[in-house]
Formats: sequence, C-alpha cells, structure tokens
Amino acid sequence: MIIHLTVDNKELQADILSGETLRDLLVSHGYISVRDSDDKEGFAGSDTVILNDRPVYANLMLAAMADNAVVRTPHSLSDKGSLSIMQQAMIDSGVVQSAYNAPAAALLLTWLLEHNSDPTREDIKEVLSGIFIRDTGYEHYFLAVKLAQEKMETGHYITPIAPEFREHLDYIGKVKPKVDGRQLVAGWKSFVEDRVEPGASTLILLRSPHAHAYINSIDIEQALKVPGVITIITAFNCPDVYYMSAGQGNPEPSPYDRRLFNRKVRHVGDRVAAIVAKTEEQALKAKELITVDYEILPAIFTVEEAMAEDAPIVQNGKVEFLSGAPDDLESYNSDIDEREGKVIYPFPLHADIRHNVAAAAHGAIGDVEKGFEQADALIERTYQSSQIQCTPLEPHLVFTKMDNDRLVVHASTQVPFHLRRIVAKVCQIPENKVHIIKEKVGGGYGSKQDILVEDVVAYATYITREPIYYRNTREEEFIANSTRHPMRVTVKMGAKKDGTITGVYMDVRANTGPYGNHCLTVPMNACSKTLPLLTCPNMKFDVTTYYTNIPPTGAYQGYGAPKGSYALMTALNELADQLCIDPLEMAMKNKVDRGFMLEILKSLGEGREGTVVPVGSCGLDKALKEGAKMINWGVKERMDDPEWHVGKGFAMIQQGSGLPGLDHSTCDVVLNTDGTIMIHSGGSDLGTGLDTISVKCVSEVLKIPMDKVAIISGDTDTTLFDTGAYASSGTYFSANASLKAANDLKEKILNEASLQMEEPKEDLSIEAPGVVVSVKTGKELTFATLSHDALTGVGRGQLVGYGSFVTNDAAIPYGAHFAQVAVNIRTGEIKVQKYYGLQDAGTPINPELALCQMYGASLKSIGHSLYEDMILDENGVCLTPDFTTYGVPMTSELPDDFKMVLIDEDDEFGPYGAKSISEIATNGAAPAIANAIHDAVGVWMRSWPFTPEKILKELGKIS
Amino acid sequence: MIGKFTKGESPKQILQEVQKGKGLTRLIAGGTEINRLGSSVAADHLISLQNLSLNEIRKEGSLISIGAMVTFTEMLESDTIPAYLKEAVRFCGSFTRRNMATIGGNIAADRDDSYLMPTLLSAKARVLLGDISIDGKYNEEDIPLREYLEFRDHFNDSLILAVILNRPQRVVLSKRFARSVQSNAAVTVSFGASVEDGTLSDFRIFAAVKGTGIVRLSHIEEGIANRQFVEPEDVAPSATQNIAFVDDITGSSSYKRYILGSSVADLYKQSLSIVENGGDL
Repeated sequence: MIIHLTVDNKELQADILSGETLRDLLVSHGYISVRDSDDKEGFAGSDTVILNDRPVYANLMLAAMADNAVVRTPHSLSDKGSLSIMQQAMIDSGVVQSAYNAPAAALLLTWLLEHNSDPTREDIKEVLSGIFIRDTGYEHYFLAVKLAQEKMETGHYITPIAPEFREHLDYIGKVKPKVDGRQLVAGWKSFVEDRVEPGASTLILLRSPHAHAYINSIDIEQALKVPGVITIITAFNCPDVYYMSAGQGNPEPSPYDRRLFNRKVRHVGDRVAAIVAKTEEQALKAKELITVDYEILPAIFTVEEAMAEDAPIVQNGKVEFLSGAPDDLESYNSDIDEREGKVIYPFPLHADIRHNVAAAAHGAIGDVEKGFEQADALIERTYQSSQIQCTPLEPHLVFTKMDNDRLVVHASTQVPFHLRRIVAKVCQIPENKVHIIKEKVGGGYGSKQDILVEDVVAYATYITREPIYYRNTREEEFIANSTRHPMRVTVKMGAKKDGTITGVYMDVRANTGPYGNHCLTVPMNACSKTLPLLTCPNMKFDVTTYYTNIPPTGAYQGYGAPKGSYALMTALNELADQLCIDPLEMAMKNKVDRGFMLEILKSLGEGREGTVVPVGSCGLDKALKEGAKMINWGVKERMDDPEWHVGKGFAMIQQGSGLPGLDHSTCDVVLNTDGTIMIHSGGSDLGTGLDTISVKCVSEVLKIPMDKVAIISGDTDTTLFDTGAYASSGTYFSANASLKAANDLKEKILNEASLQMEEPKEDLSIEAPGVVVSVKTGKELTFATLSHDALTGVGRGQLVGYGSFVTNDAAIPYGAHFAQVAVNIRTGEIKVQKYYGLQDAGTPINPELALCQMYGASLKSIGHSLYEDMILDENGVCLTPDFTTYGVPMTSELPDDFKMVLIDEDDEFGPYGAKSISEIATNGAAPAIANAIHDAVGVWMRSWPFTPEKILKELGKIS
Repeated sequence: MIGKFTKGESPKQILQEVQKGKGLTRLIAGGTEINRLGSSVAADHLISLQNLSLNEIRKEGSLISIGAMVTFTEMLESDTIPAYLKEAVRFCGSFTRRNMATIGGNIAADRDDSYLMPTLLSAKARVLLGDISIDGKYNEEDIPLREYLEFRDHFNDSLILAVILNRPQRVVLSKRFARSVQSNAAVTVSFGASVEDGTLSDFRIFAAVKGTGIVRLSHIEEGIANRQFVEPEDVAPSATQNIAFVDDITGSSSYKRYILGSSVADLYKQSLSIVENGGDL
C-alpha cells in the first residue's frame, strides 16, 4: 500500500507492506538513528520518534498507521554536522557513553523543552520513563536538561557539570567533550549495523528446545533445497576445534569446552545449526525444514543438583591438558561417549568434570580455625545470588566479509585481539588473515568480552565467501548470551566482643551453566575483590564452580565481586548485630589502610600464584566517613505512615584496575605532517571514554589541543596489541600505554627539534599549542614545521611514539555505598529513598563520565538486588526473555535522593594517578540495601532479588 | 502475518468486515498490544479505527464519555477524567507507551494484568458498543463493563466506541503490585463505593490477578454491605476465597492471595477514612 508522510520536514511517499513497522520504513529510507533494542516490545525506547507531536515507539507502530502523519526523528536535531543545544548538553553532562539510544533520548528531551521550558525533575523522569538507560543511569540527564535550559536562556552553562581535579593539568581531570560524543548523540553511522553492505546474506541459528540432549542426527536435506539457502552448518560438518569463548589472556584460565556445534546440547537455546541464506525469510523457511533427532537427557539447574550423587553430567567428554596433565588421565578418560566431545584444560584448574566441577581454587592465610577459636561470636550464613542478564541495548551482532583472502569482521567487542585469535583458531587460518574492526559498542558490560556470535558467522563467511550479517534477537540475548553466574556463598566469620574480626572463611559455589568461560576467574573475584578489604590475619576460601544446564554465564561488570561483596558485607553486619555493635564501627575497625600488606593476594591469582602488594592509594576511610555523614548514620528515621519502616545500610567495596601481571597494552602515537597527532591504541573503548582518556593523555604530554589529536582504537590491522577492555583495565593499562607512547613521542620530538634547531635537547621544551621552544634562545619550532622537515626527502622520517604497558603494581579503587530504604511491613514493598556512592578513582580523568558510570553501575546493581531475575521453568526454558518480564530498573525505580561522590586520592601507578571507576560501583547495592532492610524491619535478605514476597516471607506474613 | 491493513470508514462498515473476516480480521486502536513482541493476537487483516473520531472526552450531564481511541496520555491531560482513573492510567509506567495505548484497546486486550479494568469495573463504568444485529442493522447500546467482561465471547464481534463513567459521589481506590513499575503486575486491585450521606454503599471490588484473570469479590461486597465485618482488617482472610491463584514469574499463589486480601482490607479502610474525613473524591 502507498502511504504519505512527512519525515523531518521532508515529504515521503512509500510503498509499504501491511505488516511493516514505522521503524523499518524509516531505517530503509536512511533514518538509521531510529534503532531497535527490544524487537517490538515497546520498552527500551531506542526506536522513539515523534509522531504528530507525540513521542511513540516506531517499532510498535505499523507504518500504515503513520499515513498522513508528521514524523520527527533524531536526525532532525543536527544540521550538517552542527549539533543542537540539547545534544551538546548531553555530551557535556557525560551521558553519551555507549549511547545506542542517546539520539532517541536527545529527541525526547528536545520535545520536552519545546513543550515545557522549565521542567521539574518529575517532568524529566516522566518523559524518560519510556527509555531504558543502562550505562549511565538517568541522573545526569536531569543535569543535561538544566544545562540546555541555561544555554538557551543565557548562552552559556551556569551549573557546574562535575568536580575537576589536578589544577596543574590542562586536560586530565577536566570536563571535556567525549571525543566520539558527536557521532553517537547525533546518530551518525557508528555501530556494526551501520556497516552492513547492501546484499549481505543473513545467518540465523536453530537452537535447542531441550536443556540437555544428545543429537543423534540432523536432516538438512530439505532445508538446503530452499531457494536462497547458501549453507547449513551443524556439528556434523563444522571444524573439530575446541576453544574458549572468553576473551581473557592466552591461554585462558578456563576449560576449552566450546565447539561451533556439538553433538550434545547443554541448555535451552544452545546452538544446533546455522542457516546462511540470501534473505532472512529464506533462512527462516529452511530452519523450519531441519529435523533433529534428540536423545533427551535429565537436566540440572542448580549447584545443589550438580553436587548431588549420581547427578547427570553436563560435560562428560574426553579431558585433555595442554600442560600439567595428571597421571591418571587415561583411566579418567575411559568409557567416553564420543557425542560428549572434549574438554581441554590449558593447565590444571582443580576440575573434576565427572562430578560437574568445571574448576576450583583454594587458599588461605594464617590459621582460620584458630581465628574462630579466638572469637567471642561466630556466625555462618549462606547467601544466594541469581542469574542476571547484562542487557546491552545493542544486542550481540556482527558483520563479516572477505577482502581478497582475508576475513574482515566488523564487531561490537571488548576484546578485538582475542576475537582475532579465536576466529583464526576456529577457521584454522593464521591471524594475519583476519581483520577485526571494533565498531562503537552499544553496551557491553562484560558480555562482549565473550566471543558469542563472531565465531560462527566469521566461519560461515570464510567457507562461503559471502558477506553475512547476524544479530541476536532480544530473546537470544537472554538464553544464549553470557549472564552473571548464580552463586551460593557461605561466609563463616568470627570476631571479638570489640568487633575485631579474628577469622573469615568463604565457601563459593558458582553455577557456570553449560560452558566454562570465566568459570574460575569470576568466582575467584568473589573472594579476591572482597577479602583484601579486611585486615583479619586468618582467612580461608574455597571456590568451586559447577556445570549445569542453565543458559550460559560469563563476565558481567563487577565480575564475581558483587556476589562476594554481598555475602561478606552482609555477614559482617550480621555478626555486628550479634555482637550488638555498630556495623560501621566494626568495618572501620577491620578495614585496610595504605601500606597494609595484602598477603591474601598470594593465593588469589587467576589460575596462578598472585602477587603480594601493599595497599596503595586508598580512599576507603574517607568514603566511609563522608558517606556516614551524608546519610546521617546512627540516626533513626521515621515516616508518618506506621506501615513504612526506614533503615540504613552500607557496604565498603573495592575492585581492581586490570590484571597486573596478566594484562598488556600497547599503543603508537604518530606525528602527522601538519603537526597534528594520530593515536593508534589497541584499547577498546566501550563507550566509557577510553579514547577520550588516551587523547587527553597525549594532549597533556604534548601540550596540544584535543581537537588536534585523533584516535583509532581496537582495529587489529592498524593498532597494536591490547588484551582488551575488561576487569577495569582500560584506564590503567590502555591509557598507560597511550601515556608511555606520548612520552616516547615527546622525547623523539625533542630529539628531532634539537637536530633541526641545532640546540641541545636539554634547552628545549614543549609548550602549548604544540610548539618546541628553546629556553635559551627563545626560538620556536612548531610541530607542523618539525614534522614537515622530518619528512622531506632529506629528513629522518616520521616521528612515532611507542608505548607498551605491563605491570605488577596494583591500583585498587576503594569506596563505600550507603542506602536508606523504606519497607512496608504489610505489603513488603521497598523504596530506596537515598543511595550514596562514594568512590576513590584516583584521578578521575573524565570526571563527568566517571560520575555517570557510577550512577549507571549503581542503578544497575539496585536492579539486580531488587527486581531483575532470570527465571527458568522445570525444563530450563527461560520465562523472562524480555525486558518487561525480566524487570530492569527505569526512571520510576530511581532512588529519591541519588548521589555519587568522587573521593580524591592520587595513585602512584595509574596514568596521572587514575584508577578504574565503573565496575566497583556494582559491588555496593546488594549488601547496602540488604543491611538497610534489616535495619528497617529486622529481617536479613539472604537471596537476590529482595522482592516484596521474600520480605513478607521473612516477616512471617506468608509461608 | 499481517496481510492487509485498512482504515475503517464507519462503525458499520468495520463490523461488516469483522464478520466477514471470521476471526482473522481484527481491529487496531493504538497498536501497543497487537504489534508488540509476543502478542497473542493473530490477524491477517487489521482495520484501523483512526478515522472514526473516537478520540473525544465529553461531559454529558452527569456522565463522562471517553472515546475508545482516547490515549492514556490524553486521559491524564484531561480535566474531565476523574483522579481515580488517572491513577490507574499511571499504572502504565511508560510515557511513550501511554502516548500510544488507548482505553478501548486496553479493554479489548483482555489481559489478566490489565492496567485499567479493575478500576473501571469498580467505578461501575459502562461501554458503548456498536453491533450488527442478525438482520444486518447497525445498533449502538451501552452496557455495564462488568457485563461485557462476563460475556466476553459474545462481544467478540462488537466494536467498543466509548467508555462511560457516571459522576456521582463515588470513591474508587486502586493499587497495583509489581516488582518494578513496568514489570507485569501480580495483582491489581480496585475498591469502589458510592458515597451517600457520609456513608459507603454500592460496593464494587475487582482485581486483575496474573494467571487467573479479572475477578470480582462479590462476597466481600455483600459482606461489607451487610456489615458482616467489624473492622476493615476482617475482610482480608475471606477476600480471596474461591479464587484459584497460580504460581508464576510475578509471584507465588500464596503471595497473590495474601496481597489481594490485605489490599482489599486496606483500600476499604482508606475509603472509610476518606469519607470520615470528608475528603475530596
């Protein structure tokens, strides 16, 4: 049918299909900023447009319903590269980070200001209630609106955006626009989906309906006859290559138990076949014609079921070791069903797959039993965390193509170099035949540290030479993506009457699901990012990870720390309660301070012995004291309604900054012929501002404005190796590499200037804006002249700085989160009234972005604690495969009073004293809220999420 | 798979098309239910109500008529819509969705976690329906929403034209229980009563219970009317008799049972308090 509409002031006549959505129509006409995050759920708002002056979801609306309508898209906000005031205010306030739906948010807020020039916080919350912001929370959106208002009224901003740090520096610690902010907020081509070439084929996956089954046979004969079908890949024709999807180090401390396709499916949603066809319709038709003969097996879903005698065994194949094979391996491998495949351990991880144990680790300092004997009070409690989805707004997707005989992968990844290695391994080709181009990442949160879609799509392109686009549905994100490991953490803790902790034991039992990616390192973090907070001399831990048939798990922001922090800090509060002492006092008494030697780290390495280091810069004390003051700690609050009881809680937290001894970053910085700078960084900016940090480091060293510095990052052809963005490594590792490269280039510039100016290097200095100045003669040489002369036919060549960063030094961020909640004793409802996060990030290089990440991570973990939950039925089918049923926090779930504070602590090892910022912020909510609930109504919440129903059960209102 | 989309010309023409379509022709109002991911509505021909001018809110004497195509946002923006209905409209937590969802669509969607149905039923709302009789004539009649709900299948081929609210002194209080504002509700409950001479009468208590559907708590209505309960709290234990609750992702059956009983008692208590204090209805 033919419809007419006006889009962004242009008449559009379109011949549409009856079922076509308005979004499909708009995207097909080039309005690419109208994106899709929810497959027509009408929830996430990436598809928001204004229709006849009302914001609507374009994906939830049939195009036919827009006949004769006036439509406005985010494209209307920018004019030939010039951004609107609202768009610029969003960049300046720091909310444009992964930014997949930032254009839609800009459109909504623009619409709001056009209809209400002085909106209240509630007005803004209301308008943003239909848009899901995962990365930055919503708090700085209020600021963005205020800034835009001020700019419109006065021509400039009045409200301070964020505190600034290090007065002596020009760029570091200062509020500066994120270098890729313009393209992201305007909705210009940025993401993988924007790189797909016309005519690309499509790939869809046939997934298992069973949680646990052998595949006896797959009949693809009829499916292959469907016109347009190019190939179908199954366990019977894929490479017999075992690998690990986790992009972390090489070799990874995880079992290699992945194959493109297996003869055994291990979760509902596991891969069975990949269908490549010219169109999606053809692929779907072929999918229906594939018949699979399954032999269904009993399935297990919990740690307890996995531990049981005679439990079904999830991974029961032949075990191999790349090193350190045990002597009894031959007998261990007797009587193997070949359909089970293999599990290859790069080195021993204390596994026993015949008992579903994927990995284990144990360690101790002091004598924990002696510590317990010395205690006046002793508790032992078990805390259960649930399976949580990362929910990036941009799902996992990839576009692959051949360029001559090289495989080109446009990826949304945190680990381009690990991705290249794994794709090369799967395709059995050398790494120089693979080119990974990391596009902008529309949300990762750890889930894009795993190679979950690129392996099969790249292989399909490699064998067919077809360009192929693949994109997970939102349901596939839930059932076949990586998620937070459910964990059962038992803490035994003893203390003296005065609150001195004498012994701590943590028993971590983690559920890795069907595959073992991150199966050691995530659970280890439950201990390694919590126990080092305490000065207790007697500590012991056991970590055991079990295979089950739940949807896959993996990395998620915070890694294992949020679960360990929840258990350890709640146990500390429970023990303080038993001792009748203030838990904050107890924390203050037992916390570490600068200089304390962290002996526990020796046994907390990731698959090898860790390095013992002293506590370095540490803002823990300040965070606890300032937070206590902010929340009026010790003062009991009351509400008028007697059914609502108020309580306060806190948690002290820590994380790491990358993995000293394991991570490695490299970078080169090139002086262009006009004196501008090009950075080639191996680092992977996930939207968090790593590229901006690298640019700031170079600008600071070379005293050159940021707009004279450009960056390419995460491209395996044009940048140097970097282990990737995970474990909070970006600022510490990748930026340190950039800083080293900048300093190297500075030296080279001075050397070259010395030759060109014929003055000793010692007499030369670099001054703004990119000029070499002689302190003796006053002579000046611009970078442009210097570079030009270096590159004439008689010059000495282009100046390139190189930086390689490895370290054994740790830059540990610390902090404290405080919560005040109200709990209704009749209904079990919980309201977070106040939430304060205070964190020491060393020098916050991008303070406005840092604050937004703290807000985002805190709201996320409030969501994990109170609302979010992947629920499986008795057959392992996910009952919550969309945003609505899963339950993410939106503006309505914001705390009434939400504040993030940057504690100023200079670090000796981070670039310009910087430490990591974002991950740590996921560690505080669960224990702070659990402890606040106890303070309010006297019940301990020992499992996620803390639902009203659980409160009522604990209160004895329901059974 | 939607094979055909047309815009309805008149109620009669639309209803004729629906009759011809034999269940595969469906009406589309805002589209938030029909188009959404996981919709249970299957159709190969959609007829839009856009052109029928069903988007007016009118005062007609003591009555308020709300056209079926009036969106949730339009209800919130109207001075005519009573506060109790606006409260229920806000149960739909997404501003953007409220711009699309319509009152007629919400009723027709027949969901067990309906935002509006318990409130409208407790308010004793009526629906104006368009129908084609056996002799082919087009008729309009307004019936109690309760009756529409009770005989839902009978009205499958009817067209909701408007929702009608009476404007006597009536207190209507509603409460929705969901993990987060935009999660599916386990229970949405509404308590309605008329106010005459400072006392409550003519009670209506309805709940949308996930997995169970819309239920009327008639025995509690009668019990309150007959002064069977001494205190409002006494309502709770018997409120949920004869309701089959189910365990699902929104909560266990025991949770739903408790929260429904407790809330009915609480809403009753609040209603008494409002009347006793001469509060604004």
